Amino acid sequence: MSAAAPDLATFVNACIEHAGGLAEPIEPDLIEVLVPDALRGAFGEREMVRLALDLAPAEAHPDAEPVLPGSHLLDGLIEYAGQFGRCTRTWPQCGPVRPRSILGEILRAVTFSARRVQHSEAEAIRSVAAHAQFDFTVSLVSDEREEVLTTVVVDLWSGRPVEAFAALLPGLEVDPDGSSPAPARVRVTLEDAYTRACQALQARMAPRIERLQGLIGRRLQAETGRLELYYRSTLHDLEKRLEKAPPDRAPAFQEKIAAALFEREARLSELTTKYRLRPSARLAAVRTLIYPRLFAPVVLERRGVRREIELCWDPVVGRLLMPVCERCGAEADYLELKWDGAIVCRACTAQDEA
Amino acid sequence: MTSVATTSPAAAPDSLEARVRALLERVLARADRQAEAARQRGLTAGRYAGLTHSLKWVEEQIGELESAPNGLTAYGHQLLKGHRERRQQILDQLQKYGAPFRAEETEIRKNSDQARKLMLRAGGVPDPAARLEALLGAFEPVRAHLTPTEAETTLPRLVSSVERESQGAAAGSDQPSPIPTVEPPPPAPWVFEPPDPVLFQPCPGQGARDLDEYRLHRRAQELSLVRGFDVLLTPALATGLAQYPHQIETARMVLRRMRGRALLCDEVGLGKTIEAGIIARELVARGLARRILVLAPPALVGQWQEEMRGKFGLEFRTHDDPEFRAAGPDAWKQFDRILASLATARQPAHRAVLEKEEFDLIIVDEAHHLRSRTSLGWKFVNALKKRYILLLTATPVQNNLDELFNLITLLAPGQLNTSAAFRKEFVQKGDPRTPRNRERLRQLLAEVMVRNTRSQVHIAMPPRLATTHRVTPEPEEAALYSALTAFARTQAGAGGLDRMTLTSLLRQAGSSTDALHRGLAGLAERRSAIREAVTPLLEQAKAVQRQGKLEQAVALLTARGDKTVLFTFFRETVHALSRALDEAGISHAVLSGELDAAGKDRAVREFAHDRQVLLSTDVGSEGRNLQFCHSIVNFDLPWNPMRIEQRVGRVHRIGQREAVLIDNFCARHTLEEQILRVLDSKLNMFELVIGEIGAVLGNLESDQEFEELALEIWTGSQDEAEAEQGFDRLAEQLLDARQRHRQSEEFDAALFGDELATRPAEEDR
Repeated sequence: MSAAAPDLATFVNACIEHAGGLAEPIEPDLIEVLVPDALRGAFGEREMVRLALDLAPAEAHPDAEPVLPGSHLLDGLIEYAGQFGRCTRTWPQCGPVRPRSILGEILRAVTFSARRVQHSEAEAIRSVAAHAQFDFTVSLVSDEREEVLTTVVVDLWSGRPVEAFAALLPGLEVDPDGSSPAPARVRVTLEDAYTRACQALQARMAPRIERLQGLIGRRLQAETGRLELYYRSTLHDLEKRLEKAPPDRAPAFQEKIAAALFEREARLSELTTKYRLRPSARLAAVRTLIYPRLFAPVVLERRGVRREIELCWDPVVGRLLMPVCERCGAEADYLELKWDGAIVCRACTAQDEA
Repeated sequence: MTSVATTSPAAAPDSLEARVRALLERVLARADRQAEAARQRGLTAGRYAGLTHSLKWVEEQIGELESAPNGLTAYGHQLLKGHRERRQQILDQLQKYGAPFRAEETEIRKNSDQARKLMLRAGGVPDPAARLEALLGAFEPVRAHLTPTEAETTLPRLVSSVERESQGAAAGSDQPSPIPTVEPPPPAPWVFEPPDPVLFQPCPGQGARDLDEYRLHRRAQELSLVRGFDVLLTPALATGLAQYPHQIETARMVLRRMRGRALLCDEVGLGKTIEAGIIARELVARGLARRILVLAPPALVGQWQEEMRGKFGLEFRTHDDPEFRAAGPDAWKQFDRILASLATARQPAHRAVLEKEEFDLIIVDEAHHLRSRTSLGWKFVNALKKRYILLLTATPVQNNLDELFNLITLLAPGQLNTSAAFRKEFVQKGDPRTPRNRERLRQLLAEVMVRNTRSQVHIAMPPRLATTHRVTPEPEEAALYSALTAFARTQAGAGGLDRMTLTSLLRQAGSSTDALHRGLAGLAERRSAIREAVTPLLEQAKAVQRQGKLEQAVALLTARGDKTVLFTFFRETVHALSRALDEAGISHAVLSGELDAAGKDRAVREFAHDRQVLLSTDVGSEGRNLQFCHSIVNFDLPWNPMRIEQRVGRVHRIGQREAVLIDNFCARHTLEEQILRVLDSKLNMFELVIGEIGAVLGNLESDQEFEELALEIWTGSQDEAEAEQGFDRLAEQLLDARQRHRQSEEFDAALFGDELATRPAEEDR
């Protein structure tokens, strides 16, 4: 099996080009590199170097330096690449900002329980907003280490994680020459968004952690079972010998029993330490995704109570960002205006009635 | 007498319940015997009635006689006397038998019947622990029938066992009760590394470049992810860390299938150290191991340090390092990666500290020293807290299969059950070296043990041909060496200069006059106290004009003409040789520790390209593969055989197709000559299988390094003849060690065969 990652060559070439060097392919997975100044340190101050990007060329060409996971050259390139692109802006390409009928979209998505619901196409305004994309390196460490790179997107207008947007990211088309003034519709700072992203990340990883816990449980059960049986038998043997022992030998056996019990506890404790799952995350990069959206005001009236809310149409996701219940904070497709002016979801309304 | 079923059908014959029942039955039987005795000596009802009736009648008679109004006649007195005697007899009889009609017997029988009822009732209790408690209750009515030993020792012990059992403290159980289901410990709380504040600062935005850089960064992050043990982070084959695929497979198997606890038993020369190094590096790279303790025989500590540093970039402190010594007892806590000899680590003072420490990984080289469960070494390693452990030995079994059990139990207690059960199931009765149930044993061993053999990995290395050049030194050289030896013996005897300084001086003398001159000059500068003694030696060194060894080495290189690596330990010797080669017109490159990485690369390239000789120091050649040439010269001789092996290993490695020529130079009447005599002439070191010298040194019954032993012999002798005898004894020890090693190897080969080798990766999946 090749130890090389499938996109290793792309990465190596991209690094070299980014640093101003030149990479010339000699044969598959073998390149000759004119080392740029920025990478001289990583390449042992050499000007020209041959790189093998897989095991086979590395073995066939002893003069070529292997660039494979774990090799110091790849580590050097990763370190180099890691300096850049940690905090960037991107302008995703989106189609028409205004849907055919924002009113229709709103009514399709949300049911309002209010005597009067006012909204007008004309009042919906186009405004630039932003999402913050947080790339986390998540480590799940037990007796093994598993790492994943996972992305959480938080809407800087609503302050909520947007799973639908995160799912679109791999195929997201962006404007390479994009630029725009600072987004106007930002109500949440990056720091706050990060805090919410951390919570969303934990929720997202929960099923994976549960699966891992199951696996860990099975391993732990097997090892604990072996230890338990061993120490039970050992103690049993010792006790038998203790019973038969003359009084002057008894303390020695009692000591042995105590030592075996102590050892058993130590071994079980080692197992627990070894298998305990330790999740951690490191923020690797932050990307701000800027593009215009459509913001539509909606006025609700009921028994003299009047509330205005703003709903947002996201042209990239292609749907209305669902409003949230002001009581439970959950996204809601039904909103009821209460006498105190609160807008709550169906579940909370039912709870009130109950 | 009531008859009861006394053993529960479920109780195993040697279970705790069976033992409680056995004791109870013994007590009941005793009670029965006592009841019977009471019955036999007890009065029958008729006899008792007769006696009491007689007593009553006699007392009436006595009363009448005593109350006679007119006194008694002589006959009357005689009669009264007779009645009184009779009364006394009756009273004596009643006194003798005590209680009324069979009271004792009745009491005993009542109690034992009650005990039997309780025993019967206990038999019906389904829960084993509760059943045991109930059985103990049955002792209460018959407690009086316990012997003193039973009352004071046996029963209290049984009671405490039962208490432990009922408390779930894993005392022996009647039926092996099911292992409780273990829930995995709850995950630790999430840890979010504090993010770099830079990430939250507004960035200017650079369009396409921003996008490219973000993508580059993202790809870097993806590539740096750790992906489980399927793909090792150490591409060991490609980077030259490993020489053979089996080493990678072993590492993978140990990490993935054996969860980092394994007995590595490859035959010598197949790279157990490399395998352990890959595993250690993988664990470190994945953040699974920070604290590592390597325990190796004294002679191999230096080798381990160098291999871990040179091949795996893992820096270890040895207990001999000045920093380690300076840190005192805290050193064991202070340093994360420690290399020590087992003998040092298990010393009481160190042991006390080490047993409290938690290690992520423990590696024990030449682990056959832990074959005995009663040895201090076994107990010490067993007591250490560790998550991962690797035991390395080519010869796990020497005398009997218990040794194998002991080693496996260190790794995975219970893997081979208990000692007694192991013997019963896997050892041929009367022959502790012969296994039975081989297939089952092999299956169990395969879960914790790897043993690759040379025949499986198809190693076909060319031979090594060694020649020793004993050079007669020039007279002034010989005089200088004699004077230095005398100086060293005086210093060693008087406790003057330390071991390291003496070793250094003698090794410099064994290398070249240039090296010695520098060493002496440095010493004179540093130690004013001995400057007077050193100055004449310095003068002598200055006076040396010709160096016989140097001239002969140049002559050999001139005659040979082939590419040759010439090794020396000292830079001054390199410089002297370089000058001599220049004069002789022999092209050469210099590879020494003074050069930076690029300079070293250049030197090797020059040598590979168009130079005949590479003058290399040991430090300079660390980690270099020079198999494109096949001739080496040991211009001076390291005292540690492992270092000689390392030098040879620079060219005698995979890819070498020619026989490797090894020319060893030494001057006559020197310590090096003695070492060569021991290693080459007696031990045939250069004809041993690669790696065997390490195994031999590991089998040496000494807590000292080979270098120390050599120095002690040399400086502790009055003259050369005495030193020769000392080295002869050392040679005997080495030969013994080799013999032991080979015997074990043969036995292990027969025992394990090729059955525990690593399997190809695909099969493993």
